[in-house]
Formats: sequence, C-alpha cells, structure tokens
Amino acid sequence: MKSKRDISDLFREHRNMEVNPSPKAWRRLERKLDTHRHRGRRNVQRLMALAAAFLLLIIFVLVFSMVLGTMEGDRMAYNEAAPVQLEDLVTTDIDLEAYRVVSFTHHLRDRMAAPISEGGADRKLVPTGVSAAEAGLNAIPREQKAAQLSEFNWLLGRWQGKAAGGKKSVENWQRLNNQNLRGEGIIVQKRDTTFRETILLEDNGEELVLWVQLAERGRSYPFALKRYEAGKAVFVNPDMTFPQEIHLERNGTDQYSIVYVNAGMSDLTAEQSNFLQQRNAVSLQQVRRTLRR
Amino acid sequence: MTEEALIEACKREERRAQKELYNRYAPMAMGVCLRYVRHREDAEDVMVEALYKVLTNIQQFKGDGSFEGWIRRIVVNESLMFLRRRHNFNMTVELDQVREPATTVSAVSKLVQDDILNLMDELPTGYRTVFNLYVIEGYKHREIAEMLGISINTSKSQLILAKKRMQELLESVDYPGVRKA
Repeated sequence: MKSKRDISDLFREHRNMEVNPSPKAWRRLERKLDTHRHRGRRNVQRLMALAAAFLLLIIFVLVFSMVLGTMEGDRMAYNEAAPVQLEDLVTTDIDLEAYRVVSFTHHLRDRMAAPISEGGADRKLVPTGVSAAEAGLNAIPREQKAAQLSEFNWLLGRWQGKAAGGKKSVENWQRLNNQNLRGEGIIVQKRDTTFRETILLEDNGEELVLWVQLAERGRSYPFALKRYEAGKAVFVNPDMTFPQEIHLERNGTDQYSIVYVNAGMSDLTAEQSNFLQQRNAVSLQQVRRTLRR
Repeated sequence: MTEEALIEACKREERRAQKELYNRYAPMAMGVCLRYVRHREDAEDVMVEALYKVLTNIQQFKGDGSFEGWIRRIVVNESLMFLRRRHNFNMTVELDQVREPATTVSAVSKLVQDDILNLMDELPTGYRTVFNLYVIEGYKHREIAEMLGISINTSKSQLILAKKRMQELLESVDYPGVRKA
C-alpha cells in the first residue's frame, strides 16, 4: 500500500547531502587564516605599544608634577615678594623680649606702609636722641600719654559672655609684664575650644596701644589710645578703613564692653566679618562685645 | 582525533587541526551552500567564508550543543547574508491567492542528490530560500520572517509557491512516483 508522503519529505531526506569542494577552496581558506593570524599578532603588538606609550605618559606626568612641586616649594621658600604673615604666638611661657620684637615689627611695618608726612618747613623729623633745639627746631610740645597701663588693671581676670550660636565666650586678661596686658578670648563648645582671639594692651613708652585681630590667626592691628575718661577708652587708627576706633567701656566693676566703631563694615572681608561675628554683636555701624565677671 | 580534541586544537590555532576540521565538515557545508546559492563558484566562496568564521570564532563554542549543528547554522547564516546582498526578499503575495498544492509521492520514490540541486536551481531565490529554511533546516515561519526581514505571511506564501513550483517541475518530467492528488 502506497503511503502518502509530502513532496517536502523527498527533500528532507537529503538534508545532510555532501558535496566536495574544489581543491583550491582549502588554499583560499588557509590564506585567510594566515592573514588573520598576522593581523592578530599585529593587534597584540599595537596594543602593547599603546600600553607602553600610555605608561610612559603617566610616568612623565608624575615626574613633571613632582619637579613642579619641588620648584614651587623652593620658590615659595625664597620668594621675598610673598606676603609674610607673622602669627601671634599665644603661649603661657611667652618670651617677652621676642614678643616685643614681633610687636615692634608689626608697628614698624604699619608705619612704613603709612609713612608720617613730613609736613611743612616748620616741622621736621629728627633722629631719636636729638632734641629739637639741637636740630635747630622750635620745641614741639609733646603730647602726654592719655593714660597709664595701670589704669587698665580692672581688665585683669576672667570675663564671660555670649558667642555666636548660643555658645559661651570667655576672656581672660593677665599681666605679662610692666608693659603688656594680654587678653585671650575663646569660645568653648562642650569642652573644646573652637575659637581663639588675642588682644594686647601695650605701653610702648610713648603711648598705650591696643592690638586687636580682625581674623583668626590673622595679624593684629594697632590702635593708639587717644583719650580715656569716664571709664571709656578710645583707641584710634586713622589709617584703618574699619574700624577706625575701638572703645573700651567699663560699666561698673562687673561688666565691660569693647566696641569697634566707624563706617566701613562693608569693606570687611568675609573672613574678617565671620571672625567678628563669633564673639560680638555686629551691626552696620559697630561691632560690640559685652562681658561680665 | 576526537571531536573535543579537534576543537581544542583548533582553539589553539593549530593548522593541522584546522585542516582536519575542514576535511570533516567542508562537504556538508558545501552541500548546504549549494541549496541556497545557485552558482557553484559563489557557493564555494560562501562555504570558505563560513568555515573561516567557524575557525576564527571557535572560542565561542562552549560545547553545550552539537558542533555540527553550530557549524551548519553559521553556514546557513553566511548563505543568507550572501543572498540578502543580491536579492530583496520583501515580496508581498496575498496568502489567500495561493493554494497549497495537492501532490502525493509514493513511498518508494526518492530524489537523488543531483535532482535536488537541479530542482533547487529552478526555483526563484525567494522560494528556494524559504523552502530550504522551512523544509530542510526546520525553521518556523516566525523565525524565517525574522531572518529574512519579511512578514510571516510572506514566508508562508513563499513556501506554498515553492512547493507548487516544485510539483510542477516534477510533474513536467514525469518524475517517478510523483502525481497529482
């Protein structure tokens, strides 16, 4: 009995038919394989060359950076034009002589930056030790010191007040020697000191000078005592933009205020503004700090 | 050499092993290519290219299936790539215009190899390709449509037309055992 099959079945039976290719087929394939092998080797060599070049570049950049860093360090070490900022040393075992030298350096630099005008023919700068008469000048009345350092002994001791963020501000004044009273203001958070400020009241023989900082770890600026009356000491530095005056106001025996006055608040740098806000109440006209025993 | 040893040696690009692989599978590959590609020279080009890809990509064979089946798929794909470069398979024929031919063949009728190739040569490229893929390789219409970039309906109609043409050819020469139903 004939069974029915589809025409497709006839073809399926030859699914695995084999036909021998011509002899040159293998030779063509072999040539392609040889080319592939050489290309592969070239690719590997190319990759290795790229990797080597990249490694050399990295080494070059590293060496160059190191050399630059060394040169920069040398330049900074010997660069006289680089600004020198003298840091006020705050230690309990202060070398007073060194401190006086540093203070004098500050003072001298300030004077050199703002030289005293010589003025008219009737005024003349003379060297120390030479009297006006010896210099052929009329005697120039010498201003008396506004006050003695001892008149500020009321500052000595511990004061406290409020600081930014509700923290506690503590200021401790002590006598360093016959010429200097030093106040150290700190902000305490829990048991950590988070802010430090140093104020110095100096008797330089000619006048009392109040040295204050306007930035943490920044230089101190001198303000000369202009007058001291009714418990209010006015220190001035006309060369400053802000402040031009600093007032120490004694309010009874248990309270005093320090006030930085005069316009120019907008001239403060961000660092100075931030510094002043730590222990003081700041407004456009003045910066005030009130401390109590 | 066992098949595993042969594969490993080919992965190491040993020329002797590559020749051995060629000797074992080139005739099968040539047979596949001749069913798809009309001219022998073209079919041989396709076969060489296909085996070149087998030997240069043999690292991708993980051994989790038939090695011959893997080679066959590469050969079929290479054949289709050759055809796609020369032929647009996007022929739209309405399926309902084509009827499945009714043909029976006797159980004893057989086609010899040369007959197969000659009959294949008579078919247009589109018919032949779909016929090969569906009838001989065993792909489904959905897979054929994806491979050739045509619709499933086109694949089905191409197959029917291929069978119809094949029937006509066989009847025209009074091929033994083939008659209309």
